[in-house]
Amino acid sequence: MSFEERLIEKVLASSGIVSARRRGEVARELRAHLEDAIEEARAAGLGEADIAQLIARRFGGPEDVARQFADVYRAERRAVYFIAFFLFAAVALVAVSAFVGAVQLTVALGMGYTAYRAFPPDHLMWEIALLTGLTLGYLSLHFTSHLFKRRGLAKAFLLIGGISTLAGLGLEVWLPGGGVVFIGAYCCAGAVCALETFCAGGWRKLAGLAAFFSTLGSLAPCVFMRAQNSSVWIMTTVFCLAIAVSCRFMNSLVAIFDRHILRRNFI
Amino acid sequence: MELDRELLKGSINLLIFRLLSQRDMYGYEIIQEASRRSDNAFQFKEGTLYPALHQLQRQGYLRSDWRTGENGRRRKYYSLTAKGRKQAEERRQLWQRFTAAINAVLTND
Repeated sequence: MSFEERLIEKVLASSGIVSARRRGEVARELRAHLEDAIEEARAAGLGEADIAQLIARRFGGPEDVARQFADVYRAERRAVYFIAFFLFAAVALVAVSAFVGAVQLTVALGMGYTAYRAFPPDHLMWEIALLTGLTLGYLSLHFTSHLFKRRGLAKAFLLIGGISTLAGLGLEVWLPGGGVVFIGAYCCAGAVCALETFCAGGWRKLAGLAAFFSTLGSLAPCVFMRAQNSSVWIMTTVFCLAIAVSCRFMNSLVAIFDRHILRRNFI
Repeated sequence: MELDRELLKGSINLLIFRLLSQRDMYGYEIIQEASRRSDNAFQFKEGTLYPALHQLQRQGYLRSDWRTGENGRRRKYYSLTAKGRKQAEERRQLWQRFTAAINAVLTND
């Protein structure tokens, strides 16, 4: 690869320009500029090594140029980032809901219940509020914590917590009880993120999550539902364990999003 | 004479407006023209011109199109929009008032 192509690549690599068409156009424009500069230097009788040095000096640091391009296209980058995030969140929410629902249904059918008995409409709304609070809370905390240099998770928890509380209060008006569940699920997402931060290694994280959610699943029927029936206890524990597995699944999705979309296009 | 880099950075938009108000140009041509007219005093880092051009285009002051130059090469030419022409004139007047005020301070004892 020629030195001018390397220079262009360095500029584009950290320019933060999201659109492939625009990146191509910037590359074409810079290439035309460098070709002119090289031609002029050759006409002045310079050797190839001297030309490369001269062009690099006159062009300036590629990091500086890239940073200036990043400033120019910041608004566009943020808009695309938010769209990508919400699409990703929607996919994660559907995937988590489908998985948790499938596990619950399998266990319920195994215990001899009908699908309607396992998912009565009022309970279903409550469950959707819970999974939405947990999934959106988890993803928002993960990505927002990167915006802060120190105590990222704590600051993100407070920031997103404020927004979630407002959303929860709004939901409470529309679906009494749902708002409290939504905020509670957000707090669970905060606990999951903290747990993942402190537990090193995939299996330890999964074990930590399983312990956390099985405790929650054991206590929830007694504390919140005043349940006497063992089947409620089993279903809640299964539900919570399915969420624990979903959290690990979401973590893998986040890593893919981080590596292939976020770092490649936005950071 | 080499000018201070910070001073140059602040006036790059003014140079672009002034040069493009006379004719359409591509990036390298703008640099060459600024350098020629200033007797090589304006020698800013060439790469920094392009983000400035893109910024002005996003703000609606410039438009651009690819044309084939005299040597047969394709170049991205920039030209001022109506909004850009108005802005160029405003900036020119502002700059003249500014330099007149500075000169008045420097010359009046």
